[in-house]
Amino acid sequence: MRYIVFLHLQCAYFESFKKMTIISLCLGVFFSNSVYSQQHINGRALTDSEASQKGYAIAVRADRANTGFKNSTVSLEMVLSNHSDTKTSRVLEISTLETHDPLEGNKSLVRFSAPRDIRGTALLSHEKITQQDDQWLYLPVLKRVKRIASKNKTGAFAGSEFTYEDFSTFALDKFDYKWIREESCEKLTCDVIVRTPKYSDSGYLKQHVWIDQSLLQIRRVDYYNLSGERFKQLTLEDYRQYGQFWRPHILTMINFENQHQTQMIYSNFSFDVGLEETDFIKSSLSRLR
Amino acid sequence: MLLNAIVIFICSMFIFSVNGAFAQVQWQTKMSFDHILFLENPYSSHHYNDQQSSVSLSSDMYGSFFGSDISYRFEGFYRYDEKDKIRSHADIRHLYARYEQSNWALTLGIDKVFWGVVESRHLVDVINQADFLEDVDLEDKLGQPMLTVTHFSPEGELSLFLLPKFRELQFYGQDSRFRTSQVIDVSQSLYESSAADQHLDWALRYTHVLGSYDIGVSYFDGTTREPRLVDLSESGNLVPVYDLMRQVGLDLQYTGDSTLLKMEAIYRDTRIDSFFAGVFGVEHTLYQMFGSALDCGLMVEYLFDERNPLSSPTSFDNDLFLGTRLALNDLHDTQLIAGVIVDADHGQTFVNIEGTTRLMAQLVAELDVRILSHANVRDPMFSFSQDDHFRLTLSWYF
Repeated sequence: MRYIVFLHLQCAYFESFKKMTIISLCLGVFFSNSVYSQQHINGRALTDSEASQKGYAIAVRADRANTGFKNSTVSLEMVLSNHSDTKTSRVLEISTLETHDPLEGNKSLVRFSAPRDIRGTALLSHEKITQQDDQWLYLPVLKRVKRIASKNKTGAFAGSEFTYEDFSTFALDKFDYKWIREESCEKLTCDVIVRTPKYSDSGYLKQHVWIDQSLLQIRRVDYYNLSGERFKQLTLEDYRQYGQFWRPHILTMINFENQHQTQMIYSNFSFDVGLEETDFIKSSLSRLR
Repeated sequence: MLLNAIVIFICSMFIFSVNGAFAQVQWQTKMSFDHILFLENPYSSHHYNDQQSSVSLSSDMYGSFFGSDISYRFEGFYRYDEKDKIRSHADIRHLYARYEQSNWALTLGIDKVFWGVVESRHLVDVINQADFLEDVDLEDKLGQPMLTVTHFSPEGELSLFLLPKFRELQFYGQDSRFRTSQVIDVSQSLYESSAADQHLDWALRYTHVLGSYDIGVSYFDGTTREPRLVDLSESGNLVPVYDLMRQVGLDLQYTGDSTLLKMEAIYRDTRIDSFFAGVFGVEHTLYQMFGSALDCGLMVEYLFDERNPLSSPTSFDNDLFLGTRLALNDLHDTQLIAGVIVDADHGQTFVNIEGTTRLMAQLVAELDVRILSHANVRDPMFSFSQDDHFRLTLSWYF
């Protein structure tokens, strides 16, 4: 609606009132038509609140499909490339513990094994939903455990195009949702949802998420910076099933601003391997090696 | 004798496990080439030394019996210096077996522990002796034989350390760079304890996490790792004297959004002195500066030390530390740490800059700069003012 008002003011400078009316009408139709096609299903336009509810419902189902694993471990190779095709590879292992406390997110322990000079470096995170996360860094040469400030959500994780924000566990209550359309994605049909961060210090104005309708898995995410420009895109591929859980094995993040790319190649997913709270405490770091 | 038995035991476990299909051994070796370029003439004119090269080798093996709770580690270190035979030295950094259960662990053998939260001076960290021949900033440590029992709880950790064999602080020789003004004769070292270096030291430490606070308290009873240097005028040389001490330590960190508040404090009681010493600091990080991935950490610390300056002078009695840590967060993990410690009374300034970057997947380069200016003649670091240097290290990991 904003666009139509703006154009009316512009058109006021035209000599012919008739021309102005036709132009504004056409433009008005054009803009409301796109809004119409975005929130339109089964021949009826969705209201904003229906779109929000539908978006939230899809997010809930997708989240439910991915939770209940209790704890997991996975190996990960991160291939970072910059614009001049220089590549570097990092190998890590991530252990995760699901928590059921509504104020807390998951707990995770990330251990680096390559490049060799950072081998043994570890990061323990206790995620919080509404507050800053608690994070401890382990430096293997000094054998020092250092608690670090974690306001830096927008910082690059291990120099990659994934930020700490991207790496942290998804929690439903962190976002507002709105369904915008259906779209085909590869051989599947996806729901496209806009999610807007509710928490502070996010680097994103919003994200567009493609969730397929059959497996309820995320296939693609477009990231919009605080100026509203799409600047990163994540594709999630090679989904494989582990019992009731599906997990992607290849995640590719492209940053359009700096032409950098990070590809994460997962392997050896293991679920419910008997990890407990005591494996994710500060002492867990000093017990490494 | 006990050490020999431990060595044999752990080596046999290695042989057993390397041959066994069920063992998992991780092995990493690092070889470094070091070149030091001095900016001034040496304190001692005996041996003119404006450049010095060395190579070092360290090998680290860590393994566990698959399916069991026993793990072990061996790390050996050796440095060969082309000019300074005293600087050439070897050490076993780690050689231990560890038995673990979910909420307790027992470690037997040579190990290293780190206690503390501040950047400029590690006051509460008393277990391991410093490897002074490696670096004058005392960050490198010698392995310490110990028996450790630790209990883990969700918020905290309680450890008891029994430390049977004492490691002396090694000093440079008469013809070395980084030597002290008066030569220190390490062969004449004296101990308060009649058991000398066989005295059984012990320590207790408890750490606790309470919300945004990380707290550590420690108690140490045994031979101090920091000798007093005493002039036994016969030879004109200084002799290290190792007193017994009882020390209480406290370290505390408050972690805010992008700011850390840190503190380390000790109270030490020896036969000649009782004193407090402490370091109070703030660290604030500015993230993604100038729209890039550069993070800049700013550190300010105040150091004080009440010990008797006549019997055991210290460089850090009333000092201010300013430091910055720049992380490029690039593919090469390039980092620069620069710090300066200024003595509020005499103006002695110690500048320390360390930069590191990864040149290739297995090759890391490090450049250090150490400069001491306005040196105070009564300060233990005084003679280092002639040893300002650049140090380039290339390390190959395989």
